[in-house]
Amino acid sequence: MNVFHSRSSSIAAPATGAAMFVSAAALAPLCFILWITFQTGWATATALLFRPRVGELLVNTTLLEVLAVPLSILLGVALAWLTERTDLPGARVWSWLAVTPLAVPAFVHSYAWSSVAPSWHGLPAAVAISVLAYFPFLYLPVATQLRRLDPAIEEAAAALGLAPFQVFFRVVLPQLRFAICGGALLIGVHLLAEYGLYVTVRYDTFTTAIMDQFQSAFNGPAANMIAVVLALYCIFLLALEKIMRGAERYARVGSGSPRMPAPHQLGHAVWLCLLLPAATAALSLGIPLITLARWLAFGGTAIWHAAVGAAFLQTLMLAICGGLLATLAAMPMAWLSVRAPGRLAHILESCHYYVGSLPGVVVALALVTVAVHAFLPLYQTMATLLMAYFLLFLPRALVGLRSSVAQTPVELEQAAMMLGRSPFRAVLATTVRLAAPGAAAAMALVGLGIATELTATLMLAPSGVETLATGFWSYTSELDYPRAAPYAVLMILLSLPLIVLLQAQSKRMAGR
Amino acid sequence: MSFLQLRSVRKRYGSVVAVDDLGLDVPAGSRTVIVGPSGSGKTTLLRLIAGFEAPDAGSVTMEGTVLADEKTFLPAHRRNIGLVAQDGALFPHLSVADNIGFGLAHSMDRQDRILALMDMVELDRILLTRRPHELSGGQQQRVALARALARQPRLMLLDEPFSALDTGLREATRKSVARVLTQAGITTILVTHDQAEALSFGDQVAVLHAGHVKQAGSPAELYARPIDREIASFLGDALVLPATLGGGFADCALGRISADSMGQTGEAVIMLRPEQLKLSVATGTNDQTSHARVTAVEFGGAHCVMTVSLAGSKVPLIFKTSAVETLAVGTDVHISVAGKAHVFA
Repeated sequence: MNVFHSRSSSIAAPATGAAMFVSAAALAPLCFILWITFQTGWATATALLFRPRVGELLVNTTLLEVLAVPLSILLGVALAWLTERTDLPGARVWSWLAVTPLAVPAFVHSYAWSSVAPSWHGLPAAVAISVLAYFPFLYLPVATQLRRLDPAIEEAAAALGLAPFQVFFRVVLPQLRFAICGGALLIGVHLLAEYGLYVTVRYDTFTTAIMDQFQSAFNGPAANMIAVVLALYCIFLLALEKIMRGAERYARVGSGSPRMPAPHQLGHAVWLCLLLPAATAALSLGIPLITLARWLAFGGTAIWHAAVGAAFLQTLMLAICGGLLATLAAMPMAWLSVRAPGRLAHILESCHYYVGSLPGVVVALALVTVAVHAFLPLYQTMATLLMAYFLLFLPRALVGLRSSVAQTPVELEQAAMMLGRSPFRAVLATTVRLAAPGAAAAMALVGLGIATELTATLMLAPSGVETLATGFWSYTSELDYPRAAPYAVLMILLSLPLIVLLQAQSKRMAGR
Repeated sequence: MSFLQLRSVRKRYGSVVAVDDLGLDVPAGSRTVIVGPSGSGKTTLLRLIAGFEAPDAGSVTMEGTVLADEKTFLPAHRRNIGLVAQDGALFPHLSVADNIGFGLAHSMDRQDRILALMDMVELDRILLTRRPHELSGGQQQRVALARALARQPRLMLLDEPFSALDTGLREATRKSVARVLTQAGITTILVTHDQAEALSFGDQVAVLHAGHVKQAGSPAELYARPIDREIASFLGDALVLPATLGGGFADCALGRISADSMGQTGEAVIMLRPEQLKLSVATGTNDQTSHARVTAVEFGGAHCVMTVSLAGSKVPLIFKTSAVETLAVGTDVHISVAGKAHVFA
């Protein structure tokens, strides 16, 4: 408890107020779920839910989760171990290549695969492409954690008579548990929310079903009820991760040695081991990039029409506005959670975080419902769209801001107040000023998320507004693959800074 | 034949030679201390013995079995050598019990063995289910020792295990570790950069310098007869003076004192330990008295420091005395020498 700080800063009260306001907005989707459940009534709800169709969607979605998540864990851990802990030639390059697939939106992955293998569809295609598109979410935290592990602990295990592979399973792997749980949750939640990928490979999940319903029957009770199930599924995943992770934390004991761990010698296995990162890079980067290059060459200059430029500017504008909005909204909470932590701050922070795990389609449906029933003028306006982005990417902004605020010493705020600044001006002149680079990074992360957001944008964008993602999607739906290519290329180029940011963040967390 | 033998061991990292032409014999059941300034190759030597590194040249032999040489290399997990690292290196994801039992096979009496080990290192059984981060530094080191003892290793390596502890705790832990290891009859090698620890812990002390053993012997021998000035001052305060040797004596700034000249004559450098010198107030004319005067007194509670200048010597002498024996600044003093001065070869 940090009673002293919360008492000494009279800014704590307004900050709490602001954070409560943001939390209330973040609770809107949850209220929507409760309201829908309540309003539909038990009889209608059971009639809508206990149908073979819903059961089929549940099975489909679950199959996807139980296949794609463990496969991603295997691939992510294997790659992280190879690049971080062995003498694999070119490990740094492979490390970059293992993160870069994130720059390619999942629906561009599926677009590439359907160009290469048009007849490949259904569960196998859905699982394989999901793994290729999302495994970096697992690779990144696991690689970071591997870099942070104290090599003395592995040596202690070896001195106690464990062979290298036993050391890995009994000592290294258990210490990767948090990283694996976190990464797996991120992937699981993304699989629930993904729309474009599964439409392309013709695999029905809750999200694609809701979109079908929404596009044909608009805001019908059927779509809403499935959205409730989807939200519950998502909450189930969050709870599952919490159980798997356990309450305990694995503190690093002692100061640890600054020594770098000695890399494992691969010896003759090196060629076999090189095969894994090479094949992964070829499938997750080579296929999309080669396909795009082929379509670009095929389409020539004709495909670079004015609409592409307009969509680019539109996307950039939305990304900047959304990034600004989310970062500003996250500021009070970031400051509170570091400077005046407590039970209330913790609850408010949870409100900020949970909303980002909800699938875009649920958030969008909630906003549509609110707009239609409460503020009709807001329906299909930029404001609603920005609101959706703000809710979806609020956690991204908060994570980045929180860590930069935590790095700013509170003594500076106090010194500024002693020099006659009002509490608000003192915070502005010190912490906000010093956290600015972190805020810029947080804004960039949000903006990059917006640049490739498809589902909520399709549902909420005012008519006439076309982003790179929706432009790409409309051409892909018409099977006009060459015309879709420029949009994809621009999305990838826009996303490349994301890769650099994520790598830098991971290096910083590992203390290098 | 000694228990552990290292012969002409060399290890380099890139262009940096960490260990060079190193030879060391460790007798069975002994406690050997490897001491040296940082960068002298202590840690590398320990890692070579543990099996985390392979030597570039030379051999490591234990009980007649070659652990490493040009042809063979036995990895760490097959050497059965115990290791207690600097900060314990406890497994953060396991309880105290599971840490201690980590190297034990799963058997009926596993729990009993763990409890016996805890008693052996004087750990309270209440701690059994705790996690490492809930323990104090001293407790962590005891768990690490119990964990290493569980496998009944033939050799125990201690890598500065006491350096992270506070002064009081350090001495107590060191004593209890020494006792436990002696009772278990395990040959032990301790690496440290603390000279007091080196002199009090070991039967044998090996001083490492620039990657090789400069001098090895019993603590008393090294303290009294270091081979050079560096070792002399590394192991304790030393008064080093130029002198002219005669048969069994030396003429120096302190006058004529008895010296361990071993038939050597002429110019030489001698060493005296401060505890060999005794100060008294000069009484009138005394031929044998060196002309010395107290020039500064620094009060420090139980231990005070007096600075004394000698006529004919630019280097002032530093005396650590108790407050009751402190003399006033300006007092002319007489310095007498007990025992013999050590002569550097």
